[in-house]
Amino acid sequence: MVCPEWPEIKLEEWRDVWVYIEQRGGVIKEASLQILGKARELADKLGEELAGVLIGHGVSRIAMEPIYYGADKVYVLDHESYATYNPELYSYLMVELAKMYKPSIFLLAGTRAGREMSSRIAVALRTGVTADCTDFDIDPETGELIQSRPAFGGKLFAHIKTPTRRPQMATARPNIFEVPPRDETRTGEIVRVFIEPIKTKTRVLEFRPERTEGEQPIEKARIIVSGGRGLRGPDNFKMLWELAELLGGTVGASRAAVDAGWMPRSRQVGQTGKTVRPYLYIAVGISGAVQHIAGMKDSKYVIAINKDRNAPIFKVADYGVVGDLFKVVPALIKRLKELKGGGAG
Amino acid sequence: MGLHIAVGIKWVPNTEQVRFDPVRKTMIREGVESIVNPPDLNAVELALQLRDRYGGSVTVMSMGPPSAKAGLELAVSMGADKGILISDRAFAGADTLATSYVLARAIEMLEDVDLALFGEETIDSSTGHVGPGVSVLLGWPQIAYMTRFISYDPRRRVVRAERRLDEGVELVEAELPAVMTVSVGINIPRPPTLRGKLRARKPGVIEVWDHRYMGFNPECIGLRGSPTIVKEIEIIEPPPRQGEIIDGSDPERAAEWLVEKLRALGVV
Ligand SMILES: Cc1cc2nc3c(=O)[nH]c(=O)nc-3n(C[C@H](O)[C@H](O)[C@H](O)COP(=O)(O)OP(=O)(O)OC[C@H]3O[C@@H](n4cnc5c(N)ncnc54)[C@H](O)[C@@H]3O)c2cc1C
Ligand SMILES: Nc1ncnc2c1ncn2[C@@H]1O[C@H](COP(=O)(O)O)[C@@H](O)[C@H]1O
Repeated sequence: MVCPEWPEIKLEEWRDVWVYIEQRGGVIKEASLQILGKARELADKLGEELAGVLIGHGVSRIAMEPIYYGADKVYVLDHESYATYNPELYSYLMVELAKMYKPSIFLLAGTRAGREMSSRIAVALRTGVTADCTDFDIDPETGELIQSRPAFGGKLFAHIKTPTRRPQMATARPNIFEVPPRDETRTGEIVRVFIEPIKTKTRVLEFRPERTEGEQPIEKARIIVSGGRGLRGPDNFKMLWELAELLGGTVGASRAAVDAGWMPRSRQVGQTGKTVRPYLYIAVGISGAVQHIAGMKDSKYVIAINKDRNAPIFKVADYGVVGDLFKVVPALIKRLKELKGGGAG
Repeated sequence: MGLHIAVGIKWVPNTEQVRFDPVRKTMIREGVESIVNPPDLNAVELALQLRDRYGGSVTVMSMGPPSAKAGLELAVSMGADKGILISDRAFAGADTLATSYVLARAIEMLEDVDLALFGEETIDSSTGHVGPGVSVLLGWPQIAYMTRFISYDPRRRVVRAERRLDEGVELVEAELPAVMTVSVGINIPRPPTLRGKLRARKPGVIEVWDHRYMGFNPECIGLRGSPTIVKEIEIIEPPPRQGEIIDGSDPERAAEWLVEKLRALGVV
């Protein structure tokens, strides 16, 4: 039995794998490109097509991009009335598109925009959606999508399915999958679609992009020195920048430090920030709440500096110093400088 | 005039304390306290501030086990006018579609709600899907990931707020009635008062609604009304760590020790 209030569907009518290609100002989000590689694998296992969905104004210009990264087809919704991202409008367009072309699998990047839209689309179609997946596979027996994601702050890994409804929807956590190689010799089909826009009850009055000061983004760094509330203020982060520079790395932060305005949001590590997997993660004045650990626990090596011996960060540390960061960090910087300056020490 | 505000609050096991039995593969519940999902308390605080400024009322609602009543009592003792405990076995095992379904109906049943507030996401399932889901079911506009409430214009019946996306901040206007999801830490939730605590115990302040009272077909709620099914659960073994911890009361020695380790890792 299924809920009689849901629209009836025939499972076999739903085919193909879709990926929503998120873009702003004609620049495609890397998180969307990352999914294309995995989605290509899924489509190949099913013997179905992989399609990208691109919405905006002037996006025809970049319509071939998803194909260069592995798609067979791109649905292009290019119209001036779609110029501004609005979840109400964009999710409506995708719901209508899905009703027309009936994809079996529909994946979006696990950005905030991707998450809010995935829920809107899934609820409108009365199907399921799994947030923040870190792996996907096809059940070889049933052909169903297996959506795998961490739960309980990363303590569990759950494998989830949507057996009776279509599309099978999920968002993929950014920076888990690698962007597939771009191949300009690939060819594919561009399907232009126009859907009459709705009048939205929300208006976006302004968008202020967050500055990402030319520095190395944390997702790509091999070494990250992260600071938390223990740093007490924005000025003390200078010390971490200095340490990071000596080690050839960059600086991250806990949410507490970001919320306090000491560091930009783009450098927040954790469940609602970035997932990082550097070679070395140095946590300074960070307690190690589950939400923080969820974003850094796959680092190859972890060093923690904290004055509280019972801080949970020590449970995930390879090397820890129980002490005052305002003494230990300057001493470490001094020692590293001596080594650099004085040659063999 | 005033604003009638409904706030969804979830009673969640404190993830910091959750442990797993690796042999039986079950959650060890003993000794794990439950709490109100942290951003939901920020949503309650925002609701109270708006009510204090514009008049109206605040109703908190929670779908969960009978013990979730404690969360509603906390919100009432902070100052909420009324609590609705949506509780009955038929609601158990709900995914985000089934949860949105039930909360949307509860909001309809409350009548004349102007603003439905939720937390940005929960600490136990962390999807952030419920607010947007309710928005779709009610056909109300949505402002998710709200980081600053700017204004309410009673004449035009619009609210203005800022919300944060991954790449920047949006200034958005929405017509009422509307749904908003609130970021953790946007305000400091007020402590409960003694008067509030006494009020929370009064009969009728917290109502209990079951699926029959809400007129639900049991196929549409709980586990049966959930298209997603958890097929398997694995316990994540954290990567093995050296766990060498030293006392750093002598900073020079600690620095020397760290340099040694950094050398061994090949970074200096
Ligand atoms: C829905 C939700 C999502 C969240 N998402 C995230 C997320 O993505 N990322 C994230 O980081 N958090 C997140 N959090 C917040 C998280 O729960 C913690 O509150 C946060 O990580 C704490 O940051 P912190 O460790 O810097 O601060 P605190 O917990 O306050 O820790 C500060 C530490 O500094 C130490 N310290 C203080 N002074 C010194 C000194 N002089 N020398 C040495 N050590 C010192 C203290 O011993 C303490 O351990 C989220 C929370 C919720 C509810
Ligand atoms: N069972 C529930 N009862 C009341 N509110 C809920 C419930 N589940 C989720 N919510 C609300 O929806 C928000 C987002 O939850 P989620 O989509 O599960 O991350 C939470 O912060 C709550 O405000």
